[in-house]
Amino acid sequence: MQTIDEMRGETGLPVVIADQDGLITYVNGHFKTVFGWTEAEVMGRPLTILIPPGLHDAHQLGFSRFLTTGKATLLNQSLKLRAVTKDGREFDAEHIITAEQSQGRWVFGATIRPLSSD
Amino acid sequence: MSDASEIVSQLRSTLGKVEVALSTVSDAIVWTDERGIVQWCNSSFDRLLDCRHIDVLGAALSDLFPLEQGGQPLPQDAHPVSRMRAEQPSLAGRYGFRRSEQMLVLAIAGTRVQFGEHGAALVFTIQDITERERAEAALQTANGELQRQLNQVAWLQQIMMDRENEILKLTQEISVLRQDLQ
Repeated sequence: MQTIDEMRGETGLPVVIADQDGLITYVNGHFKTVFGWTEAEVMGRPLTILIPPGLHDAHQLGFSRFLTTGKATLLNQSLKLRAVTKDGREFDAEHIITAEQSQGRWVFGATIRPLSSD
Repeated sequence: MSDASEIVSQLRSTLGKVEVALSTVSDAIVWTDERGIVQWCNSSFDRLLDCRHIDVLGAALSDLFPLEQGGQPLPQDAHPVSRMRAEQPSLAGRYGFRRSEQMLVLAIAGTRVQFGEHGAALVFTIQDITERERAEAALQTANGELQRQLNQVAWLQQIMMDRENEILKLTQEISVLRQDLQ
């Protein structure tokens, strides 16, 4: 399982890192190719721009539950989830999400491997 | 921390508590969008389906949750999701749900919730009443048996009374005969 520092060095897969508020703080070059966003466009934007609208409620509830309880249900395992590109195209992708604490705040990182081109 | 950041933090805390609280409810709760696509469910619903939470989210509820009625698979247009999608404001009914080899009896209630310009959601609460149904059926059987036994007792009592009357009558006749003999 990759640490968030290791994810920052990942070049073969799209990587996104977000802070405790769910705001994007880092994306790698592969992310920009797959999702169509430039780094400047996504920095500070909420993670929900990468999630299909139908899953926003579940994301916010699950994210909030983790921050409130510290109990993870989805971290550090392979998850097949839909993702959405800048132009609104949805695709299946294997996500591996991890969380670490840094200076008392959570940092979240994910690798997102596209599973199909539809 | 800015005021906005403080408010976000408070709202996250509230949402987190609500999620945890709803996960302690024994009834299953699931809400879908207007097309019947699952937006969220509590952990009781995951357990009912025996599915991972992540596999339930984003799936079509009617595909995920095939139901039966009267021992027959429920046609797609009679599924609670289809009925609610057809603008029905609410519904309540009893349905069968096959989980592995087990047939569960479920009480399902659905409500359409309008969110103004944010569209509508279909909210379903599902209660597993299998054990209650079994207990009610057993109670009904026991009541029937009790009634049968009571009827039998009443019949025997009637026979006893009839016999007692016959004995009384015979005793009286014997008494008359004795007096005649004397």
